Order: sequence, then C-alpha cells, then structure tokens
Amino acid sequence: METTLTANEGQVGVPRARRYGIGTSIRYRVGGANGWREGTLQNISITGVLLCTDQPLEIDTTIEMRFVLPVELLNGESAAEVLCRGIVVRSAPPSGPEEETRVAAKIISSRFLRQPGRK
Amino acid sequence: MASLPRTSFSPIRVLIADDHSLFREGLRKLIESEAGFEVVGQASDGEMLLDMAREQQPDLILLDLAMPRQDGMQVLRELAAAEVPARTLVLTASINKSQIVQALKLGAYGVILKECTTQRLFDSIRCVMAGQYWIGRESVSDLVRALRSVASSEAGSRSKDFGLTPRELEIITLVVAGYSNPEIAQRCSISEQTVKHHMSNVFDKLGVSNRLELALFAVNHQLTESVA
Repeated sequence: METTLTANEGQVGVPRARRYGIGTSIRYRVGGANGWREGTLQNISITGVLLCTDQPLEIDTTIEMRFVLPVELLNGESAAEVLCRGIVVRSAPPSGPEEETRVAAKIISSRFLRQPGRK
Repeated sequence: MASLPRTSFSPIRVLIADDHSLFREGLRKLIESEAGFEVVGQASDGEMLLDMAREQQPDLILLDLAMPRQDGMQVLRELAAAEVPARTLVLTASINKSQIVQALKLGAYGVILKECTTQRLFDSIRCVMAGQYWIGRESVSDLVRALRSVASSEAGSRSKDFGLTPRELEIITLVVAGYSNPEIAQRCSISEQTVKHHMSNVFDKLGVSNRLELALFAVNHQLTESVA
C-alpha cells in the first residue's frame, strides 16, 4: 500500500517520495542483455523501485524494467505497460531458504507503452 | 457455494417465496406438473423463507424481491450468511439493472421475470441447477452496461474524495491506458492545451508530480473507470 511521506534516514526534512505498493510481476534485464527475467514488483515511487528476484544484481548495474499497471479498464482499453530504465542501488540477499533477493533500483527514466485493447 | 444437484434421478426440490398466495399456488401446480421437479415448500415472507430453507434444504429457491418483513435482497444476504446451499433464482414482476447487479453480487444464480413462458421458467431452473447463471438472453447486454455503469459510478464516487471532475477522471483513465496528451486531446475532442490544463489540475488535486506517479496513484486508489 501507499506509504506516508517520511524523511530519509540521515536527511531529516527531505521528503521521501511516496511509495506505491503495486504487487505485480515485473520483467527486467541487465542493460544490453537479450533475455528478460521475471521478478515481483514490491513497491515503486517516482524515484525508485523495489523488486524481488531470484538472482542478485550488482550495484550500479543498469537495468531495464517493464510491468503492466494492474488494473482492468472499461471500454475495452488495456492498462499501459510501464517501461523504466534504472540503476541498482541496493541488493539484499535472501534472508531465508524461501526468500528472494531484494533489489532496489533508482529510476532514471520511464515511459508508457499502450497495450492492445481487449475489444 | 451451492451444492450440486443430487443425482439425475432425483427431482429438483424447489422452494417458492412470494407474498401472493394465488401466485404461489399456481406456480406450485405448474412446477409439479413437470417431470423432475418437486415443490418442498412455500413461504409468504422473507423470514418464513429463511426458516424453511434451513429446514427443507431445497435445491433451488424461487425468490420474489418484493416481500414483507424481509425483502428479497435482504433474504439473499441472509441466505449467504447462513450458508444455505440452495441456488436462488429471482422471480420477479420487474427489476431494474442495478437490482440485477446487486442480486448477482449477493449470490443469486439468475433473474427471470414473472411474465416469462412456462418453458422458459423450466429452462432457467435447469440452467441454474447445471451450475450456470440465467439472466435471459435479451438482458445480457443490458447487464453488461449496468455492470459498467456501477463500476464507473464507484470510480466516480471515489473521485469525489479528491474533488475530481468527470472529465478529469476520464483523463486519468486514459493516462493509465498509456495515452499521450495529443492522443487524449483527440480522443476527448479537446485541445492539447486543455488537456495540459486538466493534467495540471489533477496533479494539484492528487499531489502527484508526474505521469508515472499519477498512474500509480490512480491504480492504488482505484480512480480509473475500471471493470468491477
């Protein structure tokens, strides 16, 4: 779910971008690679994303990400796919056997891609 | 969840709920004249129906909406809460689209009008007992429109919390669908400048700073005109 505005640690007074809990699947690939890998989008703000993956990613790696906004629209329209470019800023290894790697990435740019309608 | 019909050899056990005794009696005779059907009880109001449904455990309830003490919608709620396994077919003199949607949401398996033919009534009962929903062919498109209208009005009521206008809500939906400003302008038959003006107002009202955040906010707060 959406979190409230809070200050970044060590940066009192600097508002943190609102995070939106969009629990949906996300595809990502390291810049230049051919294949897309699957992950889960935990939350996203205008500045960054937190995703769960089955593999660790090196800090400072440039990645491309894409996910479809999880909502079904009226009139046969489909929700857009969001394409982002980002840089990995944190990668936490799994904390248990059932856990996944948590990767935080800073968003450099984003754009929307229209999906074919359902008509 | 409703139980499956017992076996192909067992009659479908029907409970009738209607406040008009003449209609109930006529319906009972009609149903019992058809092979494979058995009327296990008649109720003249909602409370009586609930008692009889628990006691008789019918396969199917023919439910009138306009009944004293507890109306049909209230009965549907109570039936769901009581986990009575019977499937319910609303049999009514008239019903509007939003009532159809509400009845289905409350667990009804179908709606049929009292003006229908005998054959159609039997068809509807068999259809429901086969696990399908019966709306009536002619009313399906109406129902889809009603569902969309309900979804739209729900989004509309949420949008009021943020002071959004219907036009702004429409534009938000198009943003979530990935339309650019020029495309939105064309779609809404307004100028691109007007779209920018609307977007600026939306950003201010929602406290978001760009298109991506607007879309995320809209999805999180269910502000789009979505399918229910």
